[in-house]
Amino acid sequence: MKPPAHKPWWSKWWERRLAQPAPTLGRIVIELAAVYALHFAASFVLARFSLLELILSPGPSGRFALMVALGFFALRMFVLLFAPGWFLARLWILLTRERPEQRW
Amino acid sequence: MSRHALSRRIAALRLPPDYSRWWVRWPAAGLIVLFTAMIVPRFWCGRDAIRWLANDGDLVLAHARAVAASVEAGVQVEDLSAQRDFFHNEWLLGTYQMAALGLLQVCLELPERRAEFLPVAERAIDELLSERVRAFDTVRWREDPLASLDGPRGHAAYLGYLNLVLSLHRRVVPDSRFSDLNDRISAALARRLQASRHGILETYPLEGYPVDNAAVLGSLLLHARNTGADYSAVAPAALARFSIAWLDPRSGLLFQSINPRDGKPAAAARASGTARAAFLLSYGERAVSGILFAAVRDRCADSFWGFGYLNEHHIGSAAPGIGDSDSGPLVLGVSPFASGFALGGARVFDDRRLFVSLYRTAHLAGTPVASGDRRVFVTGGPLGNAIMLAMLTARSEAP
Repeated sequence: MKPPAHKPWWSKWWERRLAQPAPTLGRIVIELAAVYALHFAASFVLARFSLLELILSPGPSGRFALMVALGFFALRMFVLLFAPGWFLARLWILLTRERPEQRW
Repeated sequence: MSRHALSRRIAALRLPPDYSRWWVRWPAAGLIVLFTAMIVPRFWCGRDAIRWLANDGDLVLAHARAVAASVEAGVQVEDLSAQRDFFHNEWLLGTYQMAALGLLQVCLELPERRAEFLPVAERAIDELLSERVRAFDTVRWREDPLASLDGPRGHAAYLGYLNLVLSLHRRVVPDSRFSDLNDRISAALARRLQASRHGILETYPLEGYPVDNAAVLGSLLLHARNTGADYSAVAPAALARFSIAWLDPRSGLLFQSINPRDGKPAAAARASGTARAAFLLSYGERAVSGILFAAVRDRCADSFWGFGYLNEHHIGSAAPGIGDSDSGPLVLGVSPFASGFALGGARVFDDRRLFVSLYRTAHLAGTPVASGDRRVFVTGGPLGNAIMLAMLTARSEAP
């Protein structure tokens, strides 16, 4: 008997991803709002710290603050650069979800 | 229609089955992300750039008020997060100097707001003159820069940046209460420049930086414009050094450091020094500062999806390194300080395309937030916001 073919990890992940139901419109909107709310709140919290100076002259005691700063920048990059496209792409995925009879 | 009926209708929305095939659905989703990322952020982050170029009153006043508030509250060493004491003190100078420049520029641009911002600019100048701010220079030279104006030593950084502010203040207030000091510092700097063997004033003992000398020369030329003082014995030769001797022939950028003992380059030519020198020199003249600005724009400026930035070293040069306090940390060779100061140069030399692209990056990294009648760049702190005000309201006083 032929042994079952070994599938790479990404193939399994992709199959699982395809098998998942598309998120609902409400979930898409709520997740986007949550990301923006997190960014908004983080902006006001970080306004109390001088991130520019931390980045220009980081020292051993400032490493935690530097990591926080970099984390915020990563969030901001996502919110400003990719979140609009992420939102639209998820709407597209929702609109093009398979009908039950269409599964193959 | 009830709420439940509406949500059922929305839930039932679907495109025709052909679009549901995975090889249409997922690549199209990827393209949507890609194209949206290429179009929306550049529009969103660049919205205010044209307003800054047009000196939009609301925007200028909101940012100026935030900077004025930090000056009035007093910037303390503890407010600056540098890990080394030396940077603390240099950054105190930088914070008050940039705040004073920015607020004085607002006074020139919006004369009807003078009553609100001029007293704060003068408070910043008083701080610049204080012992605690000039302490970093006193420690390095072992003499007070203001008490030793008759002496021969350079003090190029402290005196150059201070004198630029004093000369600009005199532009706003011809009978400035700082006039006498402005005259004495200008005379001392001109005399020291003339006596200098290689034409470079030392910032610290045996350390010479063209960018600090740009502040010295810019302040002298602006002083001459205000008072009619004659610097023909020093200015032409000094300008020639900026346009020839201190320029790297390969890149057209200014050498970052010049050895005061032999007048030869002591550090590679870089964008951070050149962009800052172009900005500082532009207060007094436009020809040589224009050459420096053109060099950073043509050799170091680049953009990605409409977000502009400056490379610390000219495009095509060797590995950029990790950066220092002049450039900020270099990520893929991109220089935060050069990019920031080029914003001021782009405004002075009316390069709208570069200004808008650099502003998009400043918006993305700076996170401007409005609160009440103020507007700050969240990541800037006192120093960053003072620099941004000076850059976003930059103007040349030369014809």
